[in-house]
Amino acid sequence: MTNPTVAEAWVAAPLKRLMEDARLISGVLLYPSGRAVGQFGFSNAADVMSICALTSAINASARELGRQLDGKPFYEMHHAGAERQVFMARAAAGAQEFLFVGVFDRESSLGVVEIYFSEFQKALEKLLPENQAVQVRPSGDFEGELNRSLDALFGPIGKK
Amino acid sequence: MSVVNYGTREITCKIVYYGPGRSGKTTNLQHVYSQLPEERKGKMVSLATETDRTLFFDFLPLDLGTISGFATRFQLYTVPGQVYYAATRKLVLQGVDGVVFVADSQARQMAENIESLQDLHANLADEGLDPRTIPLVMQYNKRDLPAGELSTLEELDETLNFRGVPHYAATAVNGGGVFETLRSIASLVLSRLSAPAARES
Amino acid sequence: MRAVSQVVASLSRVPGVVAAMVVGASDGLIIEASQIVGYAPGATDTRRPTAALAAYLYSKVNRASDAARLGTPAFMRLEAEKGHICVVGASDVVLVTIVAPDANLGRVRLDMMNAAKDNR
Repeated sequence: MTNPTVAEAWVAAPLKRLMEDARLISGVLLYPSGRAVGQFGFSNAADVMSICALTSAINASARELGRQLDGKPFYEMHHAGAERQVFMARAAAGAQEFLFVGVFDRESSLGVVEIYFSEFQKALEKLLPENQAVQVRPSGDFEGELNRSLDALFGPIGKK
Repeated sequence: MSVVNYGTREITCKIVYYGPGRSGKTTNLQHVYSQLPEERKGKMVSLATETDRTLFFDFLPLDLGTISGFATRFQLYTVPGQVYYAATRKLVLQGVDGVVFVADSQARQMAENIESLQDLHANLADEGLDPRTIPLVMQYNKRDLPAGELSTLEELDETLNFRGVPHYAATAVNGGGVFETLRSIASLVLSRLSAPAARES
Repeated sequence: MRAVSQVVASLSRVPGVVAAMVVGASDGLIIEASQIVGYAPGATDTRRPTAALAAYLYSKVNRASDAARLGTPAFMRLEAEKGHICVVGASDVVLVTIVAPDANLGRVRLDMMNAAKDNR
């Protein structure tokens, strides 16, 4: 199992622990805007980009659905496929919100993933840097920021 | 794809506002929403980031009233413009009946306009739709910015409008050109529905 | 099949059983659980992690038993310093009990296996 690659160093240890304890095949930690923070199990930046875009869209839709149903936003999603399962959930560390999406198979179970995800959340809370600004950015180079995080995870495209 | 219910005599069509990031797609819908009377519109849903960048889509249902005996409804969508959100942009295009391409008139955004237009064509083709014939209207937005920063309308038209579809100058932030654009695409979509091939089906 | 609540209720009445649970075999999620005997309000509720991990362990034991061509495991017991976790499979659920160290394990085993038999 390879180590996660991260755009922010402080999430590396908890993400690795989650990956190992919950026996996840792959996973991405991201901001709700879709900006990737860390990943494991992927070798292709384009795959992570798509996953981030889709995960952030699913999260946005689920929150709106929850709101429209006059309830609270939905924070967790689980899809069971024939061979693999997808787990998606929100993790809050202080005022900062993250999304996590992970894939597992028969080597794990939803119950196990939930248990260790709960521990992962607590670890993020504990490790959140004091000077970590909440990721609400002004209208500057938004797309640049999205892409720079991918560069941090995979290395800049075209540069070896 | 338009939904035509002959039993209840209802037509529902889907229009997608497409274009590069921050070209004014959401602004178009916001203006439409702000100007229409309550009985003609539904709730506008915006799935966006905290800095109001569209994450998935904006959605605005419109009631156009009765046209040729059919209660006619339009569903307006926008897509996220950033290249990063390509996967979700594709999803929003599914079932589209007409497209408004909102171009950013700033000269420095021309490459983004072109890239977005190419992306649109590729996604339409993936959906099995012919990019050459789908109802399309071009909107050249942000005409209120200083002239020195803008491409001329002719430059924009020559570079982007190779199909020669209707095009409108716009300043969506104050509503200029917004309803003209919407009227135009609505007309194109409905005309297509009433074309002989559509009638036979 | 006996109602899940009845299974939990009857297992939790076995002397020495601290908690009894019916847990989804594939997902490790609690279907029904008894209260924890002697649970102090504010203390950590260990049922959820126990259920998830016990079901997971049982699934591994099941595969090991299958690999050794021994058939389906009849009963699984984890003995620890302060007690036991006992697991019996019953179709698509597993019965899990947390048991005190001085409990009558034979009785626990018998009752769990009978409850599982009723549910197959």
